[in-house]
Amino acid sequence: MNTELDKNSVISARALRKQYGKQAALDGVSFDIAPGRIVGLIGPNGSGKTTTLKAILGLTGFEGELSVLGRDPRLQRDALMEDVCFIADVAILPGWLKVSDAVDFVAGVHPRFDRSKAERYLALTKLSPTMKVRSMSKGMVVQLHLALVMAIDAKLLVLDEPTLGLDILYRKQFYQNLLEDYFDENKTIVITTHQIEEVEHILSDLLFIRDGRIVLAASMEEVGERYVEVMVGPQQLNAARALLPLGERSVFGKSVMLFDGVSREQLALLGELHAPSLADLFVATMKGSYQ
Amino acid sequence: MSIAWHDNSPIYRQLKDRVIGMMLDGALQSGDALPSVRQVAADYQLNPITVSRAYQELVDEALVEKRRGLGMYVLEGARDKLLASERERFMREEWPAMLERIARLGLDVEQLLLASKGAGA
Amino acid sequence: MSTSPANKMRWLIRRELWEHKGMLLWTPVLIGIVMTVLGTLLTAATIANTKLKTALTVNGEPVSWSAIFNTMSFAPHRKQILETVANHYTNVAAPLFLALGFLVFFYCLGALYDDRRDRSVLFWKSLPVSDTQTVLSKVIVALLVAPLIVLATASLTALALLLALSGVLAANGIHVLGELAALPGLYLGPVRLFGLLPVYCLWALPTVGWLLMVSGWARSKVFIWAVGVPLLLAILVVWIDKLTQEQANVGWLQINVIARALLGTLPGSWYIFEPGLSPQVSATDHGAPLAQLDLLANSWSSLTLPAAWLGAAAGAAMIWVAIRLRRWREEG
Repeated sequence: MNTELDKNSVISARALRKQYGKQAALDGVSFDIAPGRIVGLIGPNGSGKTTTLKAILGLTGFEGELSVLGRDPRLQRDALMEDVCFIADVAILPGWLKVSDAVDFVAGVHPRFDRSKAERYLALTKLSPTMKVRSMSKGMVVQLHLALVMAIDAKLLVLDEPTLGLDILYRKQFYQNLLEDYFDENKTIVITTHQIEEVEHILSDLLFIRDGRIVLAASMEEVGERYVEVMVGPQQLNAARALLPLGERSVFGKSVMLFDGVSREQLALLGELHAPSLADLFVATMKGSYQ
Repeated sequence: MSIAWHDNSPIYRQLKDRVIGMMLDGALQSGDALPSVRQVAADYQLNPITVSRAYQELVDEALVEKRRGLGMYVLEGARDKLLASERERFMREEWPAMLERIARLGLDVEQLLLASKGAGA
Repeated sequence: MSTSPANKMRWLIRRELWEHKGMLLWTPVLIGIVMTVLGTLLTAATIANTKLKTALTVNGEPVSWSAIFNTMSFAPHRKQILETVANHYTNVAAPLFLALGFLVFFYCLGALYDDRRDRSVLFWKSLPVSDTQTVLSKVIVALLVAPLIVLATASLTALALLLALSGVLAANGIHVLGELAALPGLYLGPVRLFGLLPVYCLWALPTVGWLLMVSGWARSKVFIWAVGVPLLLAILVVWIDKLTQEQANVGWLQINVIARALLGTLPGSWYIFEPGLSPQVSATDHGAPLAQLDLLANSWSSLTLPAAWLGAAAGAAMIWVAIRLRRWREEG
């Protein structure tokens, strides 16, 4: 990676550092996010993923270089917020806010808000204009927030655990709406989530973060080519281990090993091949964190 | 739509196979429009790039064409072409493998056919 | 749709009213209604009571109050009484002004604190509204919108009470409404009230600034921080003063720093801070001292005091700190 910020990236970060007291939340984070991608920023708690998002959104200071849509979030946050939207946590709309007031407010302050779009989305829900947030369920609050966000023509959407605590119906609907009505090649989405299985096939790019550093940055295509899981029989165990697998786990008495960058022909000799699930890849890469 | 994707082949290829399956079954006929990339992505909860890749391979295999501004359409004779290639594959790989298996199990091919005709009638 | 800064400010202020409608609108209105109702009942009861007692007995004949009130010889006194009433009837709304002090205090205390507690600040920060605009909108609500609502309510309440009084008197044969309506004081009263607003703003700034700053800083127990720190400082200073036996001017600190940080939102607070403002009342005056005091002019004269402007500058500085806190303070 170039040490210079990439001008063509939607987000370009170089050597981000952030200390909270003695703890380094970010310890040299560098990455690029190209336009039109859906990127998963995945890491365990305390890995620095929330701090990274905060840095991108100008909610925290940091050392290093960061460019979001060509702007430094520390210096040009107000201008940046016209092109960036985020949903930080599930259900953070204030309890006293009415649906109609929320729409009116955003329409009044956001130059890229399309009021008729928001009203169309709301018409598909059970939300009525006079309802207050405090009388709504978590899922309904997310529907309102999403309706507002999808009506904003932002270039970058940052979602921090957007479906946390929602039941399956709302979760599926969330991504359905996002893909069907919102996303296009001019928009970029960054998602952090613990529900890896949920977003596995929606992502186009992956960023694994651990202990304040990026430990994996690849497109899903590359991931598909690089990583292979092999179901190894007992006879092949030693031969397989000699190839230095990234991780090993046991399934029905057979050993399943994950390899990074080893040729498929070689591995086919040792057993059945398949693509690792993102969850297994995550666990194997993050092993160090849990020891 | 919740699909259980296999883990032994890339998603885009599985998606492509699904579309091919629909063409073979007659659910998608010549001249029919494929659902938009956006719609498929939303319905199956996939990244649009994955869907585009599947569609692109269908175009590369001359089964589907892209009409500018309109979308993807099944080409004339796509089904015939598919049937021909699937038949060819069946005769070349699957049928001999099947015969071998029948022999290994000690069964008689002709008796099996008679039995199946009787049961299926 | 225009999203000019002026428009954004308008929406921000509207948002404050949505959130605090109960505190800023309904509370004053309710107080006004209660005052009007109670006042009317009280007046009616008092007059009914007075009516029972005769004013004088002349040659064995009881003379009613209304008869006295309506005589020619009483006329100059009558004129004086009515003029006093017309010039000062708005003072009856004093409870509302007291309430304003508390409302603005608690509004500022929660303004930058409440939405950090329920994390809704992250929603507001996701919109293209600058932190400066956000904080300034709250300052405007505290110094202009809330007082204006109270001033309007106070004027209407005072007027309502006056009408009620007139009605009760009229029912007893004393007709004053016609004369009152002709007195300019009646109409100038509310105008003079509104005229006090700029003075109020100036003297309230230090308190508003202090409260907004604490509101933007505290992670919990905001009231304790806002009130406790100045009080602790006061106690500390007194203690040090006693300990070192230095003749430090404790009183100065108490008034100029601590009191100004906490009491500025009370209307008329400038009389607390600058006792020298109110003119000395001569002992020979029989008339009500207040009648001699032109509240408006006197209050405006407080603007000549440097303390007014120094305090306002300190308040503005604290508002600036509050804006910085809003921008950079990180929530757990």
